[in-house]
Amino acid sequence: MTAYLLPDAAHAAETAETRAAALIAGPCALPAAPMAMPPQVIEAEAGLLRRLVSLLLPQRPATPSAGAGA
Amino acid sequence: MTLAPPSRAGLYALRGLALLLSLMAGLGAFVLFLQFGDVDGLDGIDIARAVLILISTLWLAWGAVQALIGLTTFARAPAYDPAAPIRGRTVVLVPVYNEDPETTFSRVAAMDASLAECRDPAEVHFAILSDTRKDDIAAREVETFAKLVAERAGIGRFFYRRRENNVGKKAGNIEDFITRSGAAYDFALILDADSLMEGATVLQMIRRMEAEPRLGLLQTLPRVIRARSRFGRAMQFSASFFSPVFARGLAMMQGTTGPFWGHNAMVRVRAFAESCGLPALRGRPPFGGHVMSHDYVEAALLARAGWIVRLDDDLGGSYEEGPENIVDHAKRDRRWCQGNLQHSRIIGAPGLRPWSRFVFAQGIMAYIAPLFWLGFLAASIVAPLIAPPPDYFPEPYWPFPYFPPSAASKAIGLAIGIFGLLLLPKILIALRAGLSGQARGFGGAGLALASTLGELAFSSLTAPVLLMYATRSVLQVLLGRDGGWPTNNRGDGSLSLMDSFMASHWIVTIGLVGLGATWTFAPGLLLWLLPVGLPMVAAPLILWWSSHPSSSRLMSVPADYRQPQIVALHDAILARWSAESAAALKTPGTAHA
Repeated sequence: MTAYLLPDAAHAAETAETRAAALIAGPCALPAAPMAMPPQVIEAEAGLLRRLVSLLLPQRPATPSAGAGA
Repeated sequence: MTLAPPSRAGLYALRGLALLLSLMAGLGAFVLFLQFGDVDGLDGIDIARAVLILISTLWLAWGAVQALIGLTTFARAPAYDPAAPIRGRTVVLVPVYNEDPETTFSRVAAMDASLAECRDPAEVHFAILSDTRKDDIAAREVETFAKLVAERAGIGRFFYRRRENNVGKKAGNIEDFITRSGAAYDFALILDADSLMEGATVLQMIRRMEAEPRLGLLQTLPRVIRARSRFGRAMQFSASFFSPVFARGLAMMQGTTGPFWGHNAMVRVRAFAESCGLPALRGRPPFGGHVMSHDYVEAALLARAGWIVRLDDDLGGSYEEGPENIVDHAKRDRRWCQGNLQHSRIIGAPGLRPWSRFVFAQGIMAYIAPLFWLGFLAASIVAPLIAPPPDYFPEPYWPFPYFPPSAASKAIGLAIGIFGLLLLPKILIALRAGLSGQARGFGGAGLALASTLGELAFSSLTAPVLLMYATRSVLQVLLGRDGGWPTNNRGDGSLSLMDSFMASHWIVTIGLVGLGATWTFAPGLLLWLLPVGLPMVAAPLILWWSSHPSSSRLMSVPADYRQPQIVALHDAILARWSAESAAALKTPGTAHA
């Protein structure tokens, strides 16, 4: 009896799994209706501390470029 | 009765009044403490303590003022037609992450059944958005989803997808849905895995969104349900009895810049898509990386883009579940702490409304406030060590000693003031509930008052323990330790004594050291510190005791007397599904026959 039931149960379970997988891949997959969600600016260019420090520190002169033939 | 939107001038006046009252309370405590310290001469540590008590009292007073404002009105519906035909299409989003599929998906079945009972032709779909990482749970999700679809005839209305990579956590999960399918819907009701909402509430939310085209997000006030433990029931009572008044105060002060608590809220999909794309923050966690407490940020971004964000606290039928023990609460709080402290990076974002920045500051303060209290207590223990010895003969050649006047009355006055800020709002809420008849839902005025006193005693007992967990969370975040996202434990929740001890032995140690130091260096303070020190020493017992089921009638809520329809529906479906699963396990050969 057990020997008869087990393959049947396994087959039934496999069928159910296949059906469920087909469901989520088919009619129950999310509808394809894309909408753009552009990333927003959510932080300042530099943190408050960095902005304060950069205001207080003397600005370094720009590094001269090596130039041709240097 | 409908609610007219407040004028801008009225709104600013209310906010100004709330700030002024809080400042007055804080400054009052500051001055009183300086007078207390001045008795034996002011020194640096006295001033430091006065500043710490100023900040702490200001914070307490802000909460109390919010409740006092909330007490002045009752929740009312905005102007809209509650019977208007619904035109738009709505999707209910159910993000899941390693939760038990049967429990979660049966909630979807219950909400769908509740919607069906309304017999409204509105088009409402459900999308289960899985971020589950465990393959065995994911397999059960697919199986349970098939059962859900079959039972509710859900083809074309129910959707399921599992992300391969859960980048961005819940916010990323929602964003993934919108970028794939957002154009198919006008509104999205965002839920948590443990959310439950009545169908009628969902439909009224859609009507309110349609009635106000500038409304970008509509937040409901979810009630905590199904609490069994002493801790859970205290939280449930607090959320049901006190929170609506605090929320009313908040709703009155925030105007169109309302809150988003991440779930049990409806968004206008176009507004959300346009405004709420969240990039990762610069740097690494805990301050950089993906935004953890995304909800506050999304509310601020919607408001920045000109959309109204509103809390409709008159809407019932919105439920959630809460942690059943202090450890689970602390675990959840650890995530929220990191998320809120991360907002320090966002608070300066360009273009935000001032109120949104204030909300971020408020969220940060909620977590760092315990540090100010602890700083005050530590400074008070240390103060006698560095104070100069009393000079009983300040006048040269004067033979009689001079005893400085006692400042006990000022200290007692200060303590009464601070306890008043903690207790008064809750007592007033209980009195108003008794007078207005609202207490009937909580077992009557007498029981509601007794529950209030019980909750006050319970929260006094647990507050020092929660304060220690909150402090540890803040220190962990500041030291750069990322808490991660452990799955919420929503099971039975009772803790063994050993589990309780393992989770709190460090609190016991700090409590013992603190009381020992007080006894040694400042014995006069010992009595004052016992209400904080003793619960710390007894932390394992408190954790263990509070996690066990309560059999008391105290802290009953309306849902205990009259089970909400949606909860009853869910209970019935879950019981049936569980029985079917158990039967299928017992008879494997016939399970799929």
